[in-house]
Amino acid sequence: MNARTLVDHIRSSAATGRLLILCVIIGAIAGVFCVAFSWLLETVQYYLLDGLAHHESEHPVWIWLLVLPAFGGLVSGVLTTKFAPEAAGPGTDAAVDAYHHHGGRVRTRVPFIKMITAAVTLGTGGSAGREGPLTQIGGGIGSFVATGLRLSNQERRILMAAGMAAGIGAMFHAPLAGALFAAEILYREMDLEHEVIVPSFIASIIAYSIYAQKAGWEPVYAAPHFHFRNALQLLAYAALAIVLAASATLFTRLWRVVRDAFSSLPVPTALKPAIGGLIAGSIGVFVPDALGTGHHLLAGAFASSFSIGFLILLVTAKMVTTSLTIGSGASGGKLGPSLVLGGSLGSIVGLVVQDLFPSLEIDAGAFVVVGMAGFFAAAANTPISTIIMVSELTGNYQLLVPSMLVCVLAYLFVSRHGIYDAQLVSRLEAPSKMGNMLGAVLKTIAIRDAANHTRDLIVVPEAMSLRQIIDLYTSSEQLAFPMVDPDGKLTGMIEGRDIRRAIAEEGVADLVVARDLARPHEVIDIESTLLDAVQRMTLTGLEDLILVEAEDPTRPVGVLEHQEVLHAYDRKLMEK
Amino acid sequence: MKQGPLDLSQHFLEEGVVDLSSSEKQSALEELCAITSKHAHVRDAKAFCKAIFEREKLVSTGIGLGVAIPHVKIPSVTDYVITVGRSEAGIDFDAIDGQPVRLVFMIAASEKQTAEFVRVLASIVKLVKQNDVRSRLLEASMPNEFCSILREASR
Repeated sequence: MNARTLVDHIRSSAATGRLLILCVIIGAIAGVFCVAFSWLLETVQYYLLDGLAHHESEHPVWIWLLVLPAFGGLVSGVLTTKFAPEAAGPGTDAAVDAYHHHGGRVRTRVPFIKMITAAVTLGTGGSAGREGPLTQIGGGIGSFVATGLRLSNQERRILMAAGMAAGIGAMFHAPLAGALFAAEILYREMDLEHEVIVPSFIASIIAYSIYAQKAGWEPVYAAPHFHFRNALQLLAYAALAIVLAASATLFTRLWRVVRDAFSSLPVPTALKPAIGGLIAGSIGVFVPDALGTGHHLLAGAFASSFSIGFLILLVTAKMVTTSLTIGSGASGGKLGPSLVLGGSLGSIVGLVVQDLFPSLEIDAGAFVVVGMAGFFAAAANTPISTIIMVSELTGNYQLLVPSMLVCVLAYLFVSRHGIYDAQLVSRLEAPSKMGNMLGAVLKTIAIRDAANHTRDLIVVPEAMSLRQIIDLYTSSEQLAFPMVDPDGKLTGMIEGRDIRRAIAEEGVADLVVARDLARPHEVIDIESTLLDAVQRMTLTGLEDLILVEAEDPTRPVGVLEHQEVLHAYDRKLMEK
Repeated sequence: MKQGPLDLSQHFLEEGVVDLSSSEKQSALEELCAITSKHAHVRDAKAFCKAIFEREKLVSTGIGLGVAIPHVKIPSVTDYVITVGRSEAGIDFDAIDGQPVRLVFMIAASEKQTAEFVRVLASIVKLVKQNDVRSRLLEASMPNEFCSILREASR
């Protein structure tokens, strides 16, 4: 290792080390935010949804079920419209959008506004999840730290993703899945943002540990007794995957229709969540379980204590109330409701299979677990992290095999337009990766292979008149000409764009000579790569470079035109 | 795409027009170089003068009709400077038509003004190709009337 390589290595290690230490800090802050958010949500819920509406009791107060979601929607709508419009609706989409298109920038106020509005929306009966907001809150914390330390966009994006992972990992008690989720949620295809995985692990572990210290170390939906012991059960699980894919597609379409309808509604934006909340509340009067986060329902589903009829009603109502709550712009997540919907659908299929094929000896509760995973994998295009997430959520790894089957099948069955609009198809589309990919291709092409005018190079003397230059330009395929003195030494360059401009001027064909038309030239070693050439063109603003050999940089041996760079790049891509 | 002539009126200043005392090409160029170099846009008088002579050596800038347009585009000039010299006797300038030159338009430009430079030259050519403008310039009193004619004709 030479001295320069050693210095580069130390610098790179120091930068990585700094980033990882920052992830610890971000994880700690995100953990504290999770604790604060939980407390706020439980408090609002205790006094409003439970205190006034007796939501989870056998005799809820219907008038409060009707009114409270509208009140929550109003508070959420006014706060987001006034202080942070990007905190409206689902948080994950906004975070993914900031990651891809805004260099990972999230305004400092967003985590605070999101925390308050999501707690109020959910605590008053809005049908949404508490996990999605944590993605945006955590992402906002990562962004805040990176911006405060004036880090680069790339570093800010990494810390933002680490913050997202911390929020999800802590709230779900699923640190491993949270880290993978942050890397996977960014793309629609099966693609991972590998550079964020390790930072996300660190932030997620710290946030989870802090949150679990307060909220307990038990899995969110402890379900230890399920297992997979019969290969034939996979057929039933495949059927579940089809049901989940169809339902996820339906849910995605419904939420889009509702969102678009609210978007075109001619009322002030701040009032829309109140309208959405009022309609959701009116459904909640008849199906109270369709309001709120719905977490309590999963315990019942695990125990197979709901009838198929009730579950079908619940799934239908929950899809509508969730679409109304988030689609109208109230603050909340789509992740939580997706788990409730998937779990309920799993229970339906499990109960049906149990009834029709008793010899399979299935446990309908196991289908709830796998249903949660499959529905979310299909709706969010995140099969890998979801498989692990459900295992961590339930503290049960016995169902990994059916979860893998259902998640992958459900993911493959749905179209690639899930619940997150801001997802890009794959890393190939990411604006932040364009430069890297372009650079990687250009680096493999030698200038010597891309430049056409090397053997038949035309040079012009300084005294050549514009009239002669125009003749040369129109009769040759060369678009730029090196200018030389009587000794053949390079003194400038005439670019095609300047010749084209000069053609339009009258009366100067004999007055203007090459020297009048020439630009200061830029030379590049013919043995360099196209990446070097493009960097030089960008820095100098020149469209063409003069090629020389290292032994004599004053003698032109060729010209590299910018069009040749594009052609060579296209050819290389087609070869691949 | 063809563009119309530039409005150069603001570049014609009274201190930049002069009746030349020299009747030789070299001394006439030196005389006009000295006036041009007084302008703040010309940072290095020596380099400018050298460049003007080198350019003349390549091909004469005498375009015929009794007019010459010596010009350069170099790094030590920051923006356009146009000066004009008039010769009563006429100067042998190796012009394209062999006729003596009576009007000399000297143009200094920045090396960065490649895109506009040819347009400036074309605008001057268009101006001096008008017979009445040329004859009025040759008759005008220096510097006020001479300058007014230039400004009016170059708008």
